[in-house]
Amino acid sequence: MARSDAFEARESERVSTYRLLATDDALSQDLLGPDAADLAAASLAMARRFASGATLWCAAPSWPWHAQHVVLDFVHPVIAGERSLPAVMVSGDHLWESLRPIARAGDMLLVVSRSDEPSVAGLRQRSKAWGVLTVWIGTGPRPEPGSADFVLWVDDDETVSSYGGRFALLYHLLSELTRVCLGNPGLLEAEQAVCGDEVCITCSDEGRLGEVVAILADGRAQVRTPAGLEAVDTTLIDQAHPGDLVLIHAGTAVTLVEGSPR
Amino acid sequence: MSPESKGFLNRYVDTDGHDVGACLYTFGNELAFSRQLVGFARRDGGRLARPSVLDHCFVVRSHSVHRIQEAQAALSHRLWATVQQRLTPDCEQPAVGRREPAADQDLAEPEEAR
Repeated sequence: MARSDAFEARESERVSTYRLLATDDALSQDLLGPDAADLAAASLAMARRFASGATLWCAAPSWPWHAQHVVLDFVHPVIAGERSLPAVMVSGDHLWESLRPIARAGDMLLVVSRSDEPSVAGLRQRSKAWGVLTVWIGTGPRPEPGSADFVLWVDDDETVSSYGGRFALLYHLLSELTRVCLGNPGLLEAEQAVCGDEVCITCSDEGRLGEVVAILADGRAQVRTPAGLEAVDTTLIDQAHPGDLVLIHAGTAVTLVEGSPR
Repeated sequence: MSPESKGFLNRYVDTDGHDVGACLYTFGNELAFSRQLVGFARRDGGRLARPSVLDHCFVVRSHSVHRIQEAQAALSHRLWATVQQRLTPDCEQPAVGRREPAADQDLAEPEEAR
């Protein structure tokens, strides 16, 4: 099939963009800040999840057009013939409550917001309990480490970030690089955690986040975790309620997570 | 023009009583009219870059929709910031942004259509 000149020009421009970002540290630092490596890692993680049938959920409470833009980019790619990837916008006054019944373990959440945006805090925290991978594109003071699985930050002021194309650059590259990874099936097999002599996080059952779904009769509760529904002992906690976030260790809820909204 | 883009335009129009219209083109060739027409075009500028079409035309010489959108957003934001700055004569520093103007010339060259 004969390819048009425009197609060739676009492809060569695309390849040279990636090559430039990959080889010119100063440029990628300037364009992407210290998060260039995180952008690549996030793209690979997202590609692996898409390949496993995951859905991408998007929220941008203060700038809904960014969430719409991201969804459009994944569902209707700008390059004709690229595959459509499932992405849905989450909006409204009750973000995590609306996501709870529809998100599955293995899904992904992309948030575009300021660091102090109150409505996304619960969303990020719950996603962790549900096994939803979180990517946070934002501006303002940098969030605490661990606030999301991947943090892609714009240190410019808010108008430059939101209206000056900085957010767009990040989520454009995220979708482009995700598609590059999807085009290389060898990259998509997730590394398996190997249990050897040394203690691995899974075996040691380090504190995991879970969300109480129902209270069972014998001092136990049914809890939603990335692994599914589990019955855990709640006798160490004063009073558990459905909706509470708890830290689980060795099959026991050891503490209620403070400040978690129900 | 969509209500959203009108809202966006309202952020930097109406300087000295002269309306400025702006259109962003990543696809298509629609044209909106007002008293000073500013356009953001792509590739070689196409019909928009021809004489007598626009008062001011910014051309992003790219074939990639993503790179065009990012550069046009940066350009329109800079235009807005510059207008804000000019409307505040005492303000010596650029209103927003951390880059020197020269850094933008790699992204796109502003062209006078007339």
